[in-house]
Amino acid sequence: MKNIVLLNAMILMCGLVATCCHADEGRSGIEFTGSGFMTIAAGKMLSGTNGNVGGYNCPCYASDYAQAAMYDGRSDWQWGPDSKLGLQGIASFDEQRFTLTTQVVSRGAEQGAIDLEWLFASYKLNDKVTLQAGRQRLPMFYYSDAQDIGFALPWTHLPTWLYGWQVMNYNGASLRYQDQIGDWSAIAGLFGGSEQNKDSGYWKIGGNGALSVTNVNWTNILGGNLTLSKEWFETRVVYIQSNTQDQAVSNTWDYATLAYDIQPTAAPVAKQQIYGLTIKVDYQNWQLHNESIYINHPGLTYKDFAQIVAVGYRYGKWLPMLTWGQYRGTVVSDGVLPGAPPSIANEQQTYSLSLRYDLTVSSDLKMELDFTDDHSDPGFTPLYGTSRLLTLAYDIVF
Amino acid sequence: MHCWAFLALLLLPLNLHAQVLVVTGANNSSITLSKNQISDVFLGKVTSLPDGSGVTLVDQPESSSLRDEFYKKVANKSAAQAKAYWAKLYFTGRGVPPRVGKDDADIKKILNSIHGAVGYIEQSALDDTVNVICILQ
Repeated sequence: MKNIVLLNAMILMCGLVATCCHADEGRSGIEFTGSGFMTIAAGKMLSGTNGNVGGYNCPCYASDYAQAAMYDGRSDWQWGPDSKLGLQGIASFDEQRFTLTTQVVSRGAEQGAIDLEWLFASYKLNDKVTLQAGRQRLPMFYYSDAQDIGFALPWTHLPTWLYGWQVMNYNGASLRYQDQIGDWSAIAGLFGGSEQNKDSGYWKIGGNGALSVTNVNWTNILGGNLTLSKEWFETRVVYIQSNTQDQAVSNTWDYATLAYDIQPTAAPVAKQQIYGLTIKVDYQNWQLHNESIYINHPGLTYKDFAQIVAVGYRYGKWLPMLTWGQYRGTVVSDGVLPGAPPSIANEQQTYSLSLRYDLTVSSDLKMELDFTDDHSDPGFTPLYGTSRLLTLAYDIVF
Repeated sequence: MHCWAFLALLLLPLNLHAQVLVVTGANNSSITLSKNQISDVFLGKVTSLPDGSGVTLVDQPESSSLRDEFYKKVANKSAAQAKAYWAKLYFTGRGVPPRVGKDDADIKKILNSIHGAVGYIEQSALDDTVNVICILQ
């Protein structure tokens, strides 16, 4: 964190120097703008598979893997997992040619703890090309940039099986190019950097247990994305590669003894290649969103695949939507469990019915029912089973 | 829907329901934008005009029904949906949302104080301080 602050201070100083030396007349002064977003959400588990899974009292529904945001089997309404407050400040120089952006988010899933989500500097080389450096969101998914901004989403929470992943941000640099090509609008990006995620929320839900501490390191991140849109049609492709390493530090859950009995270990450094494709249609009152991601792990024997298909119909201020989400991955059992098959599939599916009502131009109300079924092989852990969750949310931007 | 030239205004009966006029300041050089281009600009998909110059967008206030009508006609979105779209850009540092004027008079004042500024007003607010670049019906 100290190195990040120092890096951004240096970038800010460079920007100030560049501004002072700029030849144009009349461009001076700093403009500060502040804004924010908030979601107040509550969820109630209606039914599902009972059991102690990784220290969670299930039935369970993970609404945000990266933040370990979990609705569990308690009978009352739960306000934490999807509630959050974000504040953003932007300092602009040279008529917004150079800006410094910082955003902090307080989450109910983390008992209100405040996280620095990003802190980056932007410099517009011209009206089409922007360079950014600092801590930014990793653009792995279509809604990656907006995943904390409930008002920007049609759901109370992002589809878990697609959007739940280990790393959401990175420290590095990105280059963005935006242009019009005939009738098509194009936005292309290149980015690179690294991320150290200490006490990963993903692995608490993903198998190491609710009280586990696992550090996730992504290094040599390199990727690119391209978004093309024309009238009612939009498509996006993304490619990201990196080295990854998961280091269990303490409290690793043993699914046989139902306790933290496993000695924490560090996995070897591995490579990954992430391929993503999104197709969005916003035609008259109909909305279609199809997004998929495939992750290849060269040298390892498992792969990940996830996708969603969402169909909605806008009726005045109302937006009902039906979403189907799926995750499928295979894990090699490596002989640890006697009699276990050579490979075990982890497969989850969720059908979601959501309804959004635009309360004002800047706020909305939402209701969502999530029906999740666990189709994993019997030997796979963690095995969460089924869950039926109702969530209500109020979103606002200001 | 089509984008009509300014002169077409003179041929249209005055008793038609209110039209939305996309305008620039009278001091700006003549700019021509299609409906699709206006949609791209006001949704942040394009950040410059066809001649390569930068563009500053000016919105009606949130309380204005014209704002809803504009986004419905130009992009088939409600004002709330357009704001949700901008929230996705703004809170990630990817774009600057439109400036917001207080009313038609304030918007015309802003358009004449910033080169390359584009906004929209009601037909009844049209005068010689603005150039019409598109009529949305």
